Amino acid sequence: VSGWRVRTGLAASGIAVLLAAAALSACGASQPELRVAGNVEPAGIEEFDVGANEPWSFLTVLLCMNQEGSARIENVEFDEPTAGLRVDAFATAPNPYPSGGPLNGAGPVLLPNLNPGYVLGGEPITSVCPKPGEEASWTGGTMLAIQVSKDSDGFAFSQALNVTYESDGSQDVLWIPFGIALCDQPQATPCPLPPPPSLPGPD
Amino acid sequence: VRRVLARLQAVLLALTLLLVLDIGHPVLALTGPSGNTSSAGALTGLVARDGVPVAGASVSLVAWPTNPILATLPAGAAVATLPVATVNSDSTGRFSIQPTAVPADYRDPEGTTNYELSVADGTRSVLWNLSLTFTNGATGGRWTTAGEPSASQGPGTSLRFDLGVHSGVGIDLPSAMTSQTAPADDVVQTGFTAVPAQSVAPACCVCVWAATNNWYYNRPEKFMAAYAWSGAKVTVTQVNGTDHQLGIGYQVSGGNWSQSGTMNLDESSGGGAEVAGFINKYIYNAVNYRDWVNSCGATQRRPASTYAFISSTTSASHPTWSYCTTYTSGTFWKTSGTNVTYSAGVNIIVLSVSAQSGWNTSTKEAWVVTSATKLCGSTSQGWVSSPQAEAHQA
Repeated sequence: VSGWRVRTGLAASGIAVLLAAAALSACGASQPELRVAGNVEPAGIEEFDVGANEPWSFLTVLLCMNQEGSARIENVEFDEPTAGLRVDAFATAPNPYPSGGPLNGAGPVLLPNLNPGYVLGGEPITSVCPKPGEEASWTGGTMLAIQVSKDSDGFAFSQALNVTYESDGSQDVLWIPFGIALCDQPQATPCPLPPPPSLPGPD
Repeated sequence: VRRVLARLQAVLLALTLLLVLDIGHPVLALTGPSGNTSSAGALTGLVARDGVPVAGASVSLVAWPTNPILATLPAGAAVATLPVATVNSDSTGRFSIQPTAVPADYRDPEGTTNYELSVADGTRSVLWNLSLTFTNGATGGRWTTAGEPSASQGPGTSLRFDLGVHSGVGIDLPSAMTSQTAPADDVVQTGFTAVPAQSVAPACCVCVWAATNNWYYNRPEKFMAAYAWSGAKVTVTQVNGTDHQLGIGYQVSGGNWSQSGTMNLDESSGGGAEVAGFINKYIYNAVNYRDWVNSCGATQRRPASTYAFISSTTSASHPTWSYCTTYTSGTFWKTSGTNVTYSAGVNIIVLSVSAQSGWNTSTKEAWVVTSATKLCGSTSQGWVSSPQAEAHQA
C-alpha cells in the first residue's frame, strides 16, 4: 500500500498550532493520509474517436486510509493535462470488485450513467488500507470514478491525477499515476502515448 | 535570551499538552537524514550454524563495479571490488550492516549497486549477492533492495545465513513482494536457498575475483506473462533503462551449482522494443552471462549484458481472476512484471536462476480492446492496482 502526497498547507495558523505541529513532529506522530490501495504503478486508459467536450467517464483506483481516520475528497484534477483535458465530476462507491457483478469501467456517458450506486462529489473515505500480506483477501476501499472531457478536437493526455482531500483538519494532495488519454483518431490509428512517469522516491 | 527561554517554555508546554491529550496516531519510523550519506536502510540478518546462532561472525559488504566496467576486463584481469563495511554478529547472531555511498564506477545511473555479502565464522563462509538502490525521498535518503517498490513502507530485506552442513541463505523479502497471488510457476523467491560454503573461511576480501572468457550468450529470461484473448491482445513495450534482477550461479571447488542471490542488470544496451499481438504468452528477453573465478576456488556465473529485448515467447496457461471491470473499447496500459519473481526465469545451463523485472516504469503491458472484455486483477484492488492482470471475453 503506498501513495504520495504533497502537503499544501495547514488548516489553521497561529503560534499555538505551529508549536503543536513542531511538537507532533518531534514525537513522530502523523496525520491520517489518503492512499491508493495495492500497487501504485503507472497505469491508464486511452479512448478513441473522442471529440471536443464529449464526456467520458472512468473508474480509476481504490482509495483507502493509511491508518484510522477519514478523508473527504475536495477536488480531483489532472496533473499537467494537455489540450484542455479536465475532470468535470467525480464520484465514489465502496469497493465494487468483491461483489463480482457487471461493472463498466469506461464509457462515453455522464458519470451517473456509468454504474449505479456512485455518489457524486464522493463520500468520506474511512476504510483502512490492507496490512502487508492481506492485499489479496482485502475487500475494503473506495472506488474513485471521474467524468472527463477535453476542450479541443486534438489529442488530450495526462499522466496522473491530483486528488485534493481534507483529513483531520489538514488539506493534502494525493498524486496518483493513473493516466487518461482521449484520442481524436480511430483505434486503428491510435495517438502515440508518452512514456509513463517516473515514480518518486520513498516518502 | 529571554525570548529563547520563552519559546522553549512554550514548546515544552505544547508538548506536555499533546502528551496529556490522546492524539491517537501511530508513530512513524524516522528514515534518516537527507543526502547521499544517509544511513537509512541498513541490511539486517542472522548468522547461524546448523540453526544455532553464531556470535562474532564476520559480515562483509563488498561492491562490484558496474557491468560496463566489467565488460572491459579481459580474461584473467582482477575485479576491483570495493569493501564497503564489515561488522560482527552480536551475541544472538544478529547483524546490521550499513551501505555507504560508493563512487560512480560502482553504481548505475539509477543509483543501484551490486553487492556481495560474505559471512564467515572462522572456519566456513557463505557468499550472497544482492543489489541496493539509494533514493532520496521527501523525508530523507534511503537504501532499498533493488526491485522493492519505491514507495514501500514495509521493512526491507532480512537475511538468514547458515554456515552449517546444510549451508545457505534465507531471504525475507518486503511483504509487498511476497503476498501476491500468482500462477503456480510464478514463484516468489522466499524461504531458504542452499548455497555451498567454503570450508576454508577467508577473511574479507582476500579472495580476488577475476574475469574469464567463458560467456553464455542468448540465455532466455522470462520476465512477463501476457494473459489475453483475441478481443484484447497485449502489446509489450520495453525501453532503455529497464532494470531486471537476475540470479547468479555459484559453485565452490567444482561442486554443485546453486543460486547465490541476484544482481541488477541495467538492460540499457539496446534501443528497446515494442511487440504487439500477444495472447497467453510468457515473454522473454535474452541476456548474456559470464563466468568469474576467484582465488579461493569459487566461480560465479553473473548476468553481463542484454542480448535482445522481447526475443521469444512460450505458451502460458490463462488464469481467470474475478476482480473484473468490463470495457468495450480502448487501450489499457499498466507497467508490470515487477511483482513476480520467476524462480526459474533464466536457464544458465548449469541451473535455472530467478528473474524479476525491475521496479521502474520502463516495462509496459497494454491490452488493446476490440471486443467487450473483462479486465481483471489478481487481487480485489482490480486490474490497475493488482500485481497481475488478465483479460478475457466479457
